[in-house]
Amino acid sequence: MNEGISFGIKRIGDVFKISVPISPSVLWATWFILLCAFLFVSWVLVHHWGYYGVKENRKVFAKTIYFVGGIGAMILLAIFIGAYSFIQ
Amino acid sequence: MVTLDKDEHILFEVRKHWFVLATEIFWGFVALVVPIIIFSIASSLPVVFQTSGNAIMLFLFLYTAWLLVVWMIMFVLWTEFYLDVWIVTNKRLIDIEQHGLFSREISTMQLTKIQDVTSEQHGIISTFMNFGELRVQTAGVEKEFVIKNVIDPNTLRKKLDDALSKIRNKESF
Repeated sequence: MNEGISFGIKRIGDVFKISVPISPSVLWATWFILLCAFLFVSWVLVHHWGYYGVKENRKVFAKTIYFVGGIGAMILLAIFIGAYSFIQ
Repeated sequence: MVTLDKDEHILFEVRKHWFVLATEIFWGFVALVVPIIIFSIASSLPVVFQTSGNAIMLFLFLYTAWLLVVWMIMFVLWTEFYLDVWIVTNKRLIDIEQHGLFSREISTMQLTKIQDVTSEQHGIISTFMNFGELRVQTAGVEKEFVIKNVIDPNTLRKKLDDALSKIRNKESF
């Protein structure tokens, strides 16, 4: 049976399939790089806040917000890598 | 970190208006929306992306990674904003310019050398939000101190003028 040429989106979508072979180990490597970047930036920020005299109450507030957000994001990233592998 | 003399105390500190920081943070929020727009455009394209795992989880991973990067940049911007300050003591004007995390410039000027203090406000936003430029000049050819986008420049100019008057009248403060 001759199907002919279809310009429907689904048909074109069937033709243009792009494979993105990202293994979980690539994601773990990305996670590790992000962890290193996060630790480095955290170290610099905490040093600056302490050494250059950010007021105590603001320093505590900034540290709390920053580390809750940052560590929360790192945990979420790890969860998403796990889910990426197991949920199909 | 600034070390003061024994008989020196801080009169007041001058920082940029919060609107400057808010503008930078606004672009951070724009940066958070961009991946969602790209993802919705990509999902409507007649192209099928096949990944080795769950595609939604891959997107969430990439988006959270982007979120973390923007999060760190936001705090770097706040630190830069907070550490960029003028400290006015009963003796000196200390200008601390923080450029990013690893560039810092500190200049000092004796209050006795100050000849002219000027405040300027230009434009609708700076008028309504009450921020502008404050510049301090000496009689000599020394560096002119300028702080842009400062909160309430007119009041700060008056406070600085008051401090200078007290020094000229040799009053203790």
